[in-house]
This record gives sequence, C-alpha cells and structure tokens, in this order.
Amino acid sequence: MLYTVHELTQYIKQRIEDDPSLCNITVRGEISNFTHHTSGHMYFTLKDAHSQLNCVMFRGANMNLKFMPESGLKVVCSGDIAVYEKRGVYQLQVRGMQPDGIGALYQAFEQLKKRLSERGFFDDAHKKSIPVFPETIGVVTSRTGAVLHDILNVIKRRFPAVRIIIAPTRVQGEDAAREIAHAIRQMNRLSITDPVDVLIVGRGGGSIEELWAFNELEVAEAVFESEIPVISAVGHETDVTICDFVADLRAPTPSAAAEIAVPDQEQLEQQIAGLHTRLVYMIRRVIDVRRELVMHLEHGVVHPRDRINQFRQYTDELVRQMHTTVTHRLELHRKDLSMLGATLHALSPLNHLQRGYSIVRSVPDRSVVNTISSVSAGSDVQILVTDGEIGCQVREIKEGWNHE
Amino acid sequence: MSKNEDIAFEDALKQLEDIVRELEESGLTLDDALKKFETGVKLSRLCHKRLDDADMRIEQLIEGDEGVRTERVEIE
Repeated sequence: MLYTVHELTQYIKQRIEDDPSLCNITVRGEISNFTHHTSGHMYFTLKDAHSQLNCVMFRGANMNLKFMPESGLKVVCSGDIAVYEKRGVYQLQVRGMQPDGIGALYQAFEQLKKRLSERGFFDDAHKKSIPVFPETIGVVTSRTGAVLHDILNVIKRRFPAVRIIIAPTRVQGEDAAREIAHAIRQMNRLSITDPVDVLIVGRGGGSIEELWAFNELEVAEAVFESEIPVISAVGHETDVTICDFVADLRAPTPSAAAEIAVPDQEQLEQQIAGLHTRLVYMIRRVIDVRRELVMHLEHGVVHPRDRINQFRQYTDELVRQMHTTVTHRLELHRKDLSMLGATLHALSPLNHLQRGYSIVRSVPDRSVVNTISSVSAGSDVQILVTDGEIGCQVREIKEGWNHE
Repeated sequence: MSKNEDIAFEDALKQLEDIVRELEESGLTLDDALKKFETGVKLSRLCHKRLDDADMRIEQLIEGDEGVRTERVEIE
C-alpha cells in the first residue's frame, strides 16, 4: 500500500482522534520547555522519567487558569490527544491544568462524577422543580461568613414574606461533608410535619480542597435523596462540584441561589395591581353590558296592558280627530249653504216683481216674452206679478220705447 | 371566604388570575360575575397584605430528643 505523507497522517489523525480512550484524559507529568506565545497559546512538554508528551494549551483554555505554569512544575493536565498534521506529531490539547498534589482530588472527583452519573444521580428525570412562591426556605451553610448574610439580604430585599430555617454546618474540613449531609436529612425530617419548600445548600468560593466537602459521596447522596428541592450554591461561577450536578438546580453563587429561590416582590405587586385593574374594568363592563341590555329591552318590549292602553289612546285620538274634521266640514257646509241661500235670494225673480218689474209669458207655450217678435197683435199673454197672473190680449205692437 | 386567611399566597394569586380570566371570558350571569368580583377584590387585597405585612422570619434547626424543631434566632 502506497500512501502520500498527507494521506497517512490523515489516517493516523483520524485513528487517534476517534479513539475514546485518548479523549477526555488526565495526564500527570512535569512541565518543561514552557513558552507562553504572544498569541496567548501555551506550548510545553510534559515529561516523566521515561517519556515526554507535546502539549498545547490554547488561549481560550488557559485564560481560566488560577496559576501560571512554569517549567519544572508538576501538574495534572486534562484534555484530548490530537494530531498536528503539519509537523506530523501527536500532542495533548490541554483544557484544564492543576498543580499536582491535588491531582489526586481531581481523580477522585472525576471518578465519583462518573460513578454517580452511571447511577443516574444527575438525570433530569430526578430533578424536582423549584417552587415559585416558597413560604419556608431551608439554608444549609456556615453560620459565620458572608454567604448566609448574602442569602438573607437578597431574600429580605426581594421577598421578605418568607420564613428562613438555617441549619448551620461546617463547610470545609474533615467533618463538613458529614454535617452537610446530616443537615439536609434533618431538614427533610422537619419537613414531614413542618413543610420546607426549598433548600439552599452552599458556601463561598475557595480552593478545591476548601470546596471538597461538596464533592463527597455523602453529600451527593443526601442531596439526591432529599424530598425537598435543592439549589446548590457552591463557590463562584467557575467552581463546579458534585453537589452542583446532583442538585435540582445549580446557582452560580449563593446570592444567585437566593434570587432563584424567591420571586421578586416588586414585580408581584405590579402583577397583583394589574389583575386588580382588570378585575375592576371587567366588572364595570359586565354591568354596562347588562345596563344597555335592560335599556334595549325597555324600549323594544311593551307590556300587553301598556299596549292596550296605547291602542285605546290612539283610538280616542282618532275619534277626536274625526269629530274635529266632521265638525269642521259641517261648519264649512253651513257657511256654503247660507252663502248659497243669499245668492239664490238675490237671484230670485220674485225679488224683481216686488220692486215693480213683471214677467210676461206667451200663451199657451209660457215662454218669457222679452222681445216684440215673440208676440203678434191679438195673441194672448200672461203677466206675472207678485201675487198672481193677469191674462191679457196684445192690442198693438210698436218697435222702440215711448217714454212719454 | 372565611378560609381566605389560611390560603397560600401562591393559591390566592392563582385564584385571582382565574377569576379575572373568567370575567374576561364572560358568559357569567350578573350574579356570578358580582360574586367573582367580590372574591377577586378580597384575593387581591389578601395578596397585597401578604406581601406587605410579612417580615422575614429567621429560625434555626434544633435537634432535640424528640426529633427536630426550629427556634427563632437573630442574625446580624
């Protein structure tokens, strides 16, 4: 088989980097040839009596180091084996580094972490939810020191309407783990008759040795078995303990744990005020809608009795109207009649007869004689006067009037 | 509503939220609406009171012969 150098290197790189037993490893050794490059990356060799190992710790990883590595220093490094193709070398890409001596603690930490993880201690299924409105908060920490004060101050500021139960314990040293585990169990015992809603378990920042109690199996078991939800608040944000993994919630600091444990009173007050406003608004609306409805009903629907009354009134009105109309008409007619009578009277021929005029009618056709041509000499005529007729015979006819 | 005084803050707040929602969704008779309103006002007063008049109470866990109990302590 003929490879190019690159192909072979690629193959080796893949084989090495895919190997799970070369990933996430810790290596103990002494630093030599240490250089801190201007890029920020650190290059060095780890060696022991028999071998040496190229190492690189990139800037992003070494920024969090709490000490400065130097040649000759014994350390425990954690990271992955990787292949640097350009130079065809394998090297440890270091992600974490601790001075040796506490290397043993790290080993213990990693071992316990692995063991508990396998036992399901960190599973989400076991995580209890943290109550939103706790009435009683248990605090397991040192009675002295800033942590308890920080927690109490935060709670006092945010939501003082709670009861705090403190279980003072040592938080470092030989007995600390036992005391912490015991306090968690006692809190649970109390909670049977006197409910505790949430537990804050923690301490302030410190070295890995100082935080060690929170990495012990005893504490992990007590937290895991706790019926009360546990917020773990150990050290600073960068400190991670087994207790953090097992707890139902990990807070970066004790103060943060207190903030998580209680709601914000000011916000709550606003929420309640808002609900109150909506309540008042809604009841006004409910009433307004009803009022409108009633008004509508009043206008739209009339009681039958009212309807009859209205009808009766209407009838009365009609009758009155008719009466007025008829009377008015009669009055008009009466006037017409009397005027007509006057006219008739004025026109009556009898009137003229009274004043001395008379009417001449021919006989026998009784047509009125108003011209000489209607009669001839010797024909009979009648003269009508106020009280009777005068029979006459025409003697002579003359055209034109003789006024003598 | 005489039991009101014993109600947990959380429950009171939740009841208040429910009542406001019910009123907003309407469909209640006037009588019911007024009753809900009355209860709601009581709850909102209760919630405020709970927040206002509570002083933080600090106790310490004490182990005795008959088990665990608590005792008032002053911290400062």
